Amino acid sequence: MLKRGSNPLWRFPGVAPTALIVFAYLYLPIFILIAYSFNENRLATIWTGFTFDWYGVVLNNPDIMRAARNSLIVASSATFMATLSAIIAGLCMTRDSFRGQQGVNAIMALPLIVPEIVTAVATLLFFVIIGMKLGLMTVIIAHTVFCIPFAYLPIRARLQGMDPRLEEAAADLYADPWRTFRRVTLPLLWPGILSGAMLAFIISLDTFVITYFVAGAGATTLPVYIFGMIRIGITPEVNAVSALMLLVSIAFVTLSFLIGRIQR
Amino acid sequence: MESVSEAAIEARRLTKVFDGPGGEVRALDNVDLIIRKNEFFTLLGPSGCGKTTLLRLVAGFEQPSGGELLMDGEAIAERPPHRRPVNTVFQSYALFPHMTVAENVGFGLEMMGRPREEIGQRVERMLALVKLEGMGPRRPNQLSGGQQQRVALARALANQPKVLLLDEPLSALDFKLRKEMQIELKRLQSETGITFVFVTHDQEEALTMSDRIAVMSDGNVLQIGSPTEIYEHPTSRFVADFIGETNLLTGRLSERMASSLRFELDSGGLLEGQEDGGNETGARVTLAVRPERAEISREGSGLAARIEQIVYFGTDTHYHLRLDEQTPFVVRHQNRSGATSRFSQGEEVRVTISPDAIRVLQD
Repeated sequence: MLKRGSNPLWRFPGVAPTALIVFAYLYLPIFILIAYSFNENRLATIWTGFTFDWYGVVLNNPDIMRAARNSLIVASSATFMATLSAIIAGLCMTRDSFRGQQGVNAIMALPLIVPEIVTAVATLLFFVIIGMKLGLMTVIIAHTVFCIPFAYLPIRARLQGMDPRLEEAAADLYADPWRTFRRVTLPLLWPGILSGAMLAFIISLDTFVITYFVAGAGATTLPVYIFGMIRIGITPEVNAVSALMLLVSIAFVTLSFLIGRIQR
Repeated sequence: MESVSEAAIEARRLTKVFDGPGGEVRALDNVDLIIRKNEFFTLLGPSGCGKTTLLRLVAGFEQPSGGELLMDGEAIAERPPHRRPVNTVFQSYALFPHMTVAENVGFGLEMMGRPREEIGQRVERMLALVKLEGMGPRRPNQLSGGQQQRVALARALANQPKVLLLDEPLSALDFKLRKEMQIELKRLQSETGITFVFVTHDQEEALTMSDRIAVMSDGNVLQIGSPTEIYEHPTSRFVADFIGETNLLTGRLSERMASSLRFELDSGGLLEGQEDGGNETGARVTLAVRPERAEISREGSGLAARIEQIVYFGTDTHYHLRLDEQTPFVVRHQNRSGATSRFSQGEEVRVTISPDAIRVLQD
């Protein structure tokens, strides 16, 4: 924790109020959303009383539950495949040097700057051209591709920060390349893999535009479902679903943080 | 003593070229070298001279660009590092941070598939050898620099390698600890009988620890010999200059006499020497004289000089002289008697150098 006075930033006037405003700007809407998920009134903007009912409504809505299940299936599959690709890519990019490496690195990061709508249209066109039927599978494939750079960045950072002498030391101590990987590289890479996977999972859980384009009938995920609900009108039910998603995200971050702590 | 003459490692015209951003870099240029069994061999040179590259070629982390590399007479250049009977102590120690000290030390044995009890016993013995009993369950980051360094040593020695490679292992330690570890390493080498190949840029470290030293510069081995040979009989200007302090004098081999030679110095004056360094009469030569092998006096024969500065070091005093405008000369005088200097700054003195202290350099 920073102590007042130890950080030279405090010398400037108005640092504290500015920080407060920024945090309010970031988090106040979320607090309001959560607060109104406990609103008794059907109209989301008028507060009449406290209730847990909307959570019950959400959990008893088979459509929402199906969307949630889809979201989890898509996110888990996409995370697994994206992280695996990211590990392999990371190992290739840091343990070897070849011509055009910079270029490959740029291409790996490209999905981060390409507007999502472009990716979405392109992916949809691609599936149509190869004649693939839109469904849960197409969503998983699209999410995997989209999630790779998110999983890749922390894994590559971890690999780059790793002392290459450690792998040499393992080889020097008679470990063949596979055992060097299993006994030295992988355990040291683990925190990077974990944060990469976590990032990929949350990105996949949350991606709306791409999903909206490539999801076929019956492949509706939670964000797409919520969007559908909102078109009818914002109800506390929407707030409740959103609050639950937030809870899942927070749980995930906390879990990975705790695992990271135990690792150390 | 027969086994001593056998080669543990032999390099024949060993060459390593790196593709750098500014073109090719010749890290090793046709190096010929024999490292004998059971000796403490040091590769000494400034950074970038190729000493670490040579070590990494022996370990197998790099592939040679040309030439041969033999271990026990067998070509090993193609063998991957995990199939070479050598172990390395890295400059950064490279201890596995996710394993305990004991797991680190036992790693090589585990990879060789030794039974668990044997590994446990050997780890205990190794930790005792480097005086780290009871540290087994700790993590490397819970140890001090000196302790980590000894774990690295134990980890490498545990496998009883034929050759132990040490890449500037003491450079991260402070002065006192470094001195202790120098003695420790020397003790371990004679106790285990393992061939040590030690890389350093510290000439004093090389002189105190080695059986033989190879002085390297720009990818070449300039001279190989015992510490005494290297210090007393440097063959090149670089070696003379790099190992210890040296006065360099230029001149001409002017005359051959019955039992000695005479050099005429550019700074004026004549010097009597014993070796001609393979030069003919009349040839230009560079002479090297160690500061402790010269004497100064108020009168008598010898080279004329003026005292520019007197530096007191406690054990000895350094007199910085000038023979003429271009030629500085340092004389080191051991302070056997009282602390007061016999001479004073600005004084005109005579420098005498005994004939056997004069070395003729090749270039």
